Amino acid sequence: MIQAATFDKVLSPVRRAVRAGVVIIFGALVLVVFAQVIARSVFNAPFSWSEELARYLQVWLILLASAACVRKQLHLTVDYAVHALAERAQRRLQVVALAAVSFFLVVVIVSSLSLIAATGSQMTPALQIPIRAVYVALPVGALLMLLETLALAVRLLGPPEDLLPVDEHAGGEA
Amino acid sequence: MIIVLLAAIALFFIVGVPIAFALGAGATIAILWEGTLPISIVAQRMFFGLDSWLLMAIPLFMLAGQLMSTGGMSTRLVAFATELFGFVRGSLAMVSVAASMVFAGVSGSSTADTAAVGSILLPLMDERGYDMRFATALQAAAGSIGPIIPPSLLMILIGFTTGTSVSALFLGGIVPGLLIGLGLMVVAYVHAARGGDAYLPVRQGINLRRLARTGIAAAPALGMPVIILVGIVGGFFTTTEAAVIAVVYGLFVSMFVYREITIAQLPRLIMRSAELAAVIMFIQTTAFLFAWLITVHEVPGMLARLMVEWVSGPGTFFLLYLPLLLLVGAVMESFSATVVMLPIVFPIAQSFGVDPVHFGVVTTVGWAIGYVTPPFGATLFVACSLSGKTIRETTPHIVPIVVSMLVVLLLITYIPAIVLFIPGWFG
Repeated sequence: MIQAATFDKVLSPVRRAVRAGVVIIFGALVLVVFAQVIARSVFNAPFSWSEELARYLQVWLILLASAACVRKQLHLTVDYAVHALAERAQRRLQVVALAAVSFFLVVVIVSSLSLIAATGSQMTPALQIPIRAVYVALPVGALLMLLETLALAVRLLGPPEDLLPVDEHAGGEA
Repeated sequence: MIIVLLAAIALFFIVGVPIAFALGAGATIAILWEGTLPISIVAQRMFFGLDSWLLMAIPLFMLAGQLMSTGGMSTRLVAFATELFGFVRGSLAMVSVAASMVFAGVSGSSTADTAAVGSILLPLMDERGYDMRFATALQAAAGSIGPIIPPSLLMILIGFTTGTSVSALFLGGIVPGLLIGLGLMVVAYVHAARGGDAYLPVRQGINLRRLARTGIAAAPALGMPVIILVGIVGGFFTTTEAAVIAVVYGLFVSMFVYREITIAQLPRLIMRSAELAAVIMFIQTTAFLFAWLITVHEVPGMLARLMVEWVSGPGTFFLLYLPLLLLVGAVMESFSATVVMLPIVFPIAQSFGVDPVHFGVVTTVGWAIGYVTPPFGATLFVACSLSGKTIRETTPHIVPIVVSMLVVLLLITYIPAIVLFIPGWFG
């Protein structure tokens, strides 16, 4: 049985990289969109590439941040039924739920790899970069989410003292 | 196939699979069951759900909201509102509503609004001896105005899901937002009139000098909604461009004018905003797949044909829609409810001749009532955690508040002009 601590140790550089990636990409996104506003409204010379670049940054941003949300269990859940159960039954159901999440993430990885294979060397319209560089965010993001899901499962199946307190801000932000 | 889809999703919901993954896994099972679609459709639809210029306004407004609630704007807004309303009985309750309404024009998020204003005012009300069960319920309701008065993350998602103009929705939300605020002030006044000495005014009359001083300090915060509205309505910027201007403005004011945020704090703020946005946007990716399956199989059309016997036009449509809206709003978080329900309901509404902007604003107000009502009330959770009251304790005090909000909901539903006249000026 893998211990939660070992899993965390292996994942910690990955988590730092994800965090750095999110902060840098979000910063770049703000700069690109702001530069576009200035170029268009002040200099009356709109860029051809900024909107496309911003959209692709957003794809990467959301998929990476989503992996961090899996770890902190921020993804919204309808949990009335689960909460009505006894603790042991709750933990069993959580394992089932994590299995369903993993199933979907594996599908996303397979599905996006086949999408990437189908696009070949296609280029994006404005930036002229390979469209694969954008699509690849899907399998990378899904793989990161899958790793975090497995980390949660390891924790859940291990001794009870490893259980993380659930983030109290897990409610929706609307 | 549709039955497999809905049954699988329902099952995953019950087992406790997060909504985003439940929608995706359910849709995958339905696709595999049918066996005619390539599996790459999953990735393709998800990608299109993310690759959107309009939706980019969501992470950007989220970041702007985080900057402005941390960067000292809320404190100054509260100080200004206290000078404005301090002479009224129950003044702190009035301030809570007024400051939340102004903050609604700065941020697009109900929970950010509740937290920003409530974290300052709830302790003050407690100190003066207000009935905190009432104060908590009132703050939750005041915060729910966040997504009704523009800008609004919820309206961006509703606009995206239904293909409706976001700026028209923004404009349509102004009057309903003001009406709800007014209703809450009336409820607060009635409550204060019957309360004891705790509710005596905090100021004797209006002191013009102090009003001017706090007004100047709050001016950068008050300027924000003006910039956003004039920019979007005047056609100078798109919603997304307005969102980035809000970020840059928020950064400038909180770092250089109020000097309450340092560079070292930024990564944490950015990360937090990215996570909050990802929660909404990741649901959107798999919901895009779900909505596509629902549309391809013409589910809304089938339901509309079933309903045609009872529904003759917008009036009867809303008669059926409002209870559904309130029920779903009470048990589900609004962003997930939007992406799951609107792809089915909106085409039906259109087939009965409902105006898209009217539909979007009514839906927003319906969800806002859901923020306040248990069991799942997003702003109620925040207000309760700030005041330390339980949801059970506050529930009786929620009743008059929700009644006042329902009155506004019925008014705007059956007199569409209340919503549509401002968008009409610019349409």
